Amino acid sequence: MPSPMDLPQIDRRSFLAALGHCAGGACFACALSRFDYSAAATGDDDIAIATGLDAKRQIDFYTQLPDNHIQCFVCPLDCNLADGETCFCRTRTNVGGKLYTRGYNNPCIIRVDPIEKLPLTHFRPGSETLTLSVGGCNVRCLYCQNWQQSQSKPDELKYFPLTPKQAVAAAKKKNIRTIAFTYTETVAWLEWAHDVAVEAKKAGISVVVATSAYIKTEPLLDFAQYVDGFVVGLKGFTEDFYKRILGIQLAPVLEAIKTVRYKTDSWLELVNLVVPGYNDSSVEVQSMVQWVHEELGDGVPLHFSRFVPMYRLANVPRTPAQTLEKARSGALRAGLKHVYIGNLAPHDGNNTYCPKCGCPVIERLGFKILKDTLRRGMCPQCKTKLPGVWT
Amino acid sequence: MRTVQGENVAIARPAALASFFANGFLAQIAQILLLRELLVVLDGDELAVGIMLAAWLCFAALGALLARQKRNGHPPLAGFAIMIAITALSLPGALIVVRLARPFFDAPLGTPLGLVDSLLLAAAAAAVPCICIGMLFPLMVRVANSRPALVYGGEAAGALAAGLLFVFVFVAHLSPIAIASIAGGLAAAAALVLIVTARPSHRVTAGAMTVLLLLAVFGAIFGGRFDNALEQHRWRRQLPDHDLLSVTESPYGRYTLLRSASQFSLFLDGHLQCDIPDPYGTGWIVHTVLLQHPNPRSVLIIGNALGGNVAQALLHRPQRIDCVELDPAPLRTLKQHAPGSALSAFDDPSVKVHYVDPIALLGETARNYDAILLDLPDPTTLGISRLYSREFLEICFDHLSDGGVLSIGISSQANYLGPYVRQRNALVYHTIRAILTDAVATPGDHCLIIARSGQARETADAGSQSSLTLAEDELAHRLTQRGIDWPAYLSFLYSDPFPIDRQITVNGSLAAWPAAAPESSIDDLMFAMDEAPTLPQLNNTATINTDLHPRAYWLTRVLNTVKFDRPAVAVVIEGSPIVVSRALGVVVAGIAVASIILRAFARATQRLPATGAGLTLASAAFAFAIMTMHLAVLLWYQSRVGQMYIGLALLTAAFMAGMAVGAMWGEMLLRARRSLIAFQVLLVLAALLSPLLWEPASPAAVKLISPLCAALLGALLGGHFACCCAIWKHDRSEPVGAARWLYGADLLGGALAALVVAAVVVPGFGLVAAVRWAGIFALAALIATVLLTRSRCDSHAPS
Repeated sequence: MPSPMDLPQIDRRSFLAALGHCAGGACFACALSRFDYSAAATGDDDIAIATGLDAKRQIDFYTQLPDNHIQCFVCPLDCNLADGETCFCRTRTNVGGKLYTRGYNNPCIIRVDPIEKLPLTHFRPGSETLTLSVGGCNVRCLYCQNWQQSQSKPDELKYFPLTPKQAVAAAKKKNIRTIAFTYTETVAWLEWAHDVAVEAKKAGISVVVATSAYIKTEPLLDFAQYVDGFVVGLKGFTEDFYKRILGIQLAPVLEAIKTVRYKTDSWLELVNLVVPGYNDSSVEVQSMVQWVHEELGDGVPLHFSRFVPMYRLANVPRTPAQTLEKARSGALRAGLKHVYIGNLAPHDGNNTYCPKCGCPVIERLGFKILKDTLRRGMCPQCKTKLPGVWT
Repeated sequence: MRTVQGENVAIARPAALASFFANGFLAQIAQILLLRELLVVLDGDELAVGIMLAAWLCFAALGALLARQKRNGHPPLAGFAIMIAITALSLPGALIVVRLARPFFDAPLGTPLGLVDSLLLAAAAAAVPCICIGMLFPLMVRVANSRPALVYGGEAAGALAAGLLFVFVFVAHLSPIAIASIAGGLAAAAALVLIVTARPSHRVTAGAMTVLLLLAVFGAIFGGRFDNALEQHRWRRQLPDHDLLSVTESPYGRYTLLRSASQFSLFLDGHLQCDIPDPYGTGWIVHTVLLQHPNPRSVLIIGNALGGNVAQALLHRPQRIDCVELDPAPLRTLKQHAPGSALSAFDDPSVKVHYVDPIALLGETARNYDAILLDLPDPTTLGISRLYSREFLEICFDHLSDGGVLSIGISSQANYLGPYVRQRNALVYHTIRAILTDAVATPGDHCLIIARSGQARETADAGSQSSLTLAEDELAHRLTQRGIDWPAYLSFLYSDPFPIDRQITVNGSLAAWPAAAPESSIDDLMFAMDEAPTLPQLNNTATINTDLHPRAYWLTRVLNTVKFDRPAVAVVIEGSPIVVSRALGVVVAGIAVASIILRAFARATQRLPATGAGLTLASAAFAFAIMTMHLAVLLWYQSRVGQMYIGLALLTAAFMAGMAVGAMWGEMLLRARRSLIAFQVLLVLAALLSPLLWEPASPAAVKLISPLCAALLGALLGGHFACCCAIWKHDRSEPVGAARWLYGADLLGGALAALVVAAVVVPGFGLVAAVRWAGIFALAALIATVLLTRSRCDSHAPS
């Protein structure tokens, strides 16, 4: 047995350094042991659609590329996906060179809502909608009210198995005449929305959609033939705002709005959420109003909606009432006939007025219709016909 | 004049002491100012504080360790002067960097920076001043040829003075740039005196200090204007259509008031507090709660009084409304800039505003209330989390009249309750229902949990009908019956805020936590809507939020990470308590094993034990333990007494005073090694015994005990450092090494504790667990001391 003096002479500094390395290694190993490798390994690159989904449906709008790659062309993002990858919207996955939706038959929200909530003011006012929503979104709004659903994959959420036929049957059973797709972006789960809309059409039920309209023309036209009304969020009017706050581009949205207006029979309303410091400048609002007037006509209702602190913009002030009133009066001066103030009630801007005689034809308090004097869409005083879907 | 011999110079002891004091003053002011600026930018919760303190202490330690390399480059006096000049000049620079950082990180207004960005910013801001401050310590030891403990004590005294002056004098009257200039000027003046008395021929250095002093005077005079211009620029970039009306510094933070059209927006440290007037947004909470009571005569409002809650409550014509505001500054500022109807409610004779902490108010008053409304921000800080705790809610319950109503709100989501929102809100729901069983939670973007005391409390079993109603028609009817004409609330009620299916889903989901939410079919959702909801069965395995284990704060942190940061960061944050506890275990084991091996190595090689390594390890472990205990005492005080900022300042002052006294006292101890071991044993015992005090102590007892604890902890740290230095000097006959290594280790230990204890250990495991860790680290320090220092060190007598 060697005596202590026979032991190799170790320099104290290197000895301490070795000890330090050991401790560091142990800490690192300890930290790694906590990670959920399955979660880390999947993320947006998971290999297959999670098991437990009720159905999976192929996407209609994509092209196959070499090496099992895929180019999705539902929306202008044009996601190019390797095998196993998922689109930016978190809802479409390339499985073996074919693109599948993860959100088919898996709505996370099933509600009965007043139609004014969308907001739609010229589409069967005072009626109820069966509201459906699936997780995922191809937009990244920093003020999203529904961020928990929109910023998740559909199968990560608590969902209800519901086929298109079941959805329509439920609406009929409850005597609801309209199905609404809202809360998250319908473009992200277009396939299921499309199939529900087809079934609804067969059953004589109307379909309305709230959307950011970040979609390409072909899938939009394919879907819109089954849709009776669109509420498009025209969220700002500069590319900078769209890029910084929404993470997308403005130009395709404007193109999609024009497509809905002129190439479909669907009813169209526009909503602009006015966010202080971001899209509330007079110049921007006036440019938007000008564009709406020139490109869409004066009959398209425009809603200026009040911002309240939400999601990542929790420290931005609420929109002052005067800002909304100024925007509304500017839009009316520019020639738009139906301009509303939303998310701020009670307010005169919540009501529908006859564009000719100025008489209030529908008075609202919240989502409640206090007075509706329209007769088959006509003003009771001057008999002017107001645009919209009234029956 | 009593002098000590430095390197070719004779340093007057008073001049040296004044310089130590001034540098401690500058360092403390720099720390407070940078911390406040970072809190504004980093969406400041305790994580931001932890990040900042850790960056601060790490860089200071780095500076202390780098000092030797600078030794040969500069003569001590010149080097000393240069370091003071850089520190004094870099501090305003760092403040400007922090204030203008947001565009650099491309973070829009209202969004907090992510963890990585926060670390980068804290590092960028703290690097230069902190490295200089760290380097100053060994330089001071060398310049004055003084004992490190004396410098340590002098610095601590300066820090104590800075903390007290800042809280009670500076903050209310001076802008940050002006305060930084005064601190820099003081350090320059002290250095000038030191240089002139020590070496009058050193004209260049003295001249440089004079220029610095003049610059400081200039900064003190014109700093306010510059600061205002900077704030104007910052806000104009973010909200171009808003006018900046005022910036008010208060001990509770920086209030900023902006106006757009007739709307005023009040911010505290960058967080939006309220928009005034907001007739459309406020009021639904007040009316929904007050309409649950047949005749609310006395109402207590805690939170958002300025935002309209008081004005709305007045519509119910109660005899008395008490509202609690911590700070008089915002109401004063608002009254000055926004006179008129929005704030006229505060002139009503039935309204009484109490500028105290809610816990203090409820501790003092014997009054009972028909309704207590807690309209608080989310528990993003430990300070707010305590107002969501079982202990506080029990105090509120004790002040409810029979049949009285208590409400607490927390952010939520209207249409879908995701897992992170659910677990945080369920914790609050279970905490309330642990006290008042008759409680309902509203669906919506803001989850309002309303509970009733009195007879219903005993009868409200699962499955029974609640005595509270969220039926919109019924609420509208009660509003009309009470003769209140408030269309905004009617409009709210007509906006479908409390659909029955969502009431059932939300309450069922919260009650079932941590188990999965009850399954519901499409039929449940669409066809059970006409049935009135009943109280759901509570899951008995659910945890609740307490003072000593602020889980609400932790779950909010996790939720906000999911909300604001990358998914990978969220995974890291969520798993961090376990990782940190294992890492701490490894560190403690590492210290113990290293001590044993070094001792064995010394025996095997027949060398002397590695005293330097032992003292360094012991210093780091002891500083960790002390900082952990200190944080635990701070949080204990905060949770039981409230009065956060001033209380924290007093405790910190007590700690610094203790440290100064301890350092001086440690200088005089004859048996340094035994004293060192005694300090460590004392800390182990304190860690073992202190939790016994915590649960039963009343706020009055906490007020008395906690400053004593803080002072004792400071004295232990100061004494420990002094003894370590004495042993080091005895063993190696050089004070600068002690200053470098021991000071560096001290700072590193403190930095680690500041970061992990405030940010992870306390919210993840609770205060008792944190104190246990302190005991374990003190034990590790003891092991290192016993094994690696020689008993003959005790023969040391102070020079």
